[in-house]
Amino acid sequence: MHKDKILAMAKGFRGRAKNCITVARNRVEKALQYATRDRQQKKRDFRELWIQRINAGAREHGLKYSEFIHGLKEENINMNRKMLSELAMNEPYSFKALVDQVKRMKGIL
Amino acid sequence: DPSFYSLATMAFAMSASAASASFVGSAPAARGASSARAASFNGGASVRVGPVRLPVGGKRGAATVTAKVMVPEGVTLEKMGKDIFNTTYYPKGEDTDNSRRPWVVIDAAGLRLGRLSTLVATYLRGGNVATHSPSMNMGTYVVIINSEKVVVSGKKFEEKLYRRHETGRPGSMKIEQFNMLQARLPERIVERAVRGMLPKNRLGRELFTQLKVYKGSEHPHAAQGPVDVTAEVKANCYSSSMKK
Repeated sequence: MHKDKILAMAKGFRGRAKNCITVARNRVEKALQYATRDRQQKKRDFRELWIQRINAGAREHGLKYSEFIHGLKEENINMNRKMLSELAMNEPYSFKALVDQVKRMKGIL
Repeated sequence: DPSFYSLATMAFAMSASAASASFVGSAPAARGASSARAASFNGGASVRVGPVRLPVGGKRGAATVTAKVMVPEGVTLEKMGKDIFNTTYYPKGEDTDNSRRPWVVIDAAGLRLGRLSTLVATYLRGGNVATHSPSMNMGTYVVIINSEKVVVSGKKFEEKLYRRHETGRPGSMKIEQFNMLQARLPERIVERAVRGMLPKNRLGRELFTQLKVYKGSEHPHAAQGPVDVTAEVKANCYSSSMKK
């Protein structure tokens, strides 16, 4: 029955929304709408997080995010931001090597 | 040259090597073979781990079918567990433990109020480290000394107003100029500036408690061993007329 399906999806909801079908139906519809919207937003949110991390990591070595990414493009290093942020977090010496290459290209190092 | 975030680099480099596998890569590992490659299995040379989806014809039903993993005799596949290389790392609760948060001290004498406060807010939030996670408290404790010597430019010394609503009722607003407040309670000036730059939510309020502002050059936190970052802060506290 459709009712059971809705109540199964409403597990963990607050108050009557998990028990009573009228309330649950509304909240489950909303929940599905949010899920659809947020599947698109998740991609944006993670890219934001990666950029923040790369910015912080690059500033540790004296470069801003904008300069760093520009340098990477000029050097034709096509690493995506996800992996760059993972390097910045877990492989600091590798990240420093990338930053140094950009600095050499710009003539700062 | 000491960079603004050198403290974090030092501390992090010491703790980084513990658990990180040596992964210096550009492309994430191929997840699931393409259907063209699925059919060709060179016996014994390579073992494909994980399910492979093969296309099937017809309009009804599933578009792909999971193929059985082709494993040569006598080879056991090891369970690789959670994929840590292709998922973005987000810190767990124990990483925000209080004992892991570094302490930092800044001598505010002669520094400009707003420019100091932005850097302090970044430190408090943890935005100076590459492991920055905005929804968790991974920041540092910041101790500010000599807060009565903070400087403002222009006519703000006599004309910047600090308002407060004393009892909450109309007519009970009190106004004070910058110089009067600095004579009375200099810590409040820096605290108010930094609080305005932190997020205004539960986490922001918690971050604000990590800020310790003192008048004079003594602070009671010597036991925590705060690192003096005044030089880095000064290097970044420039005014736009001084920018090269």
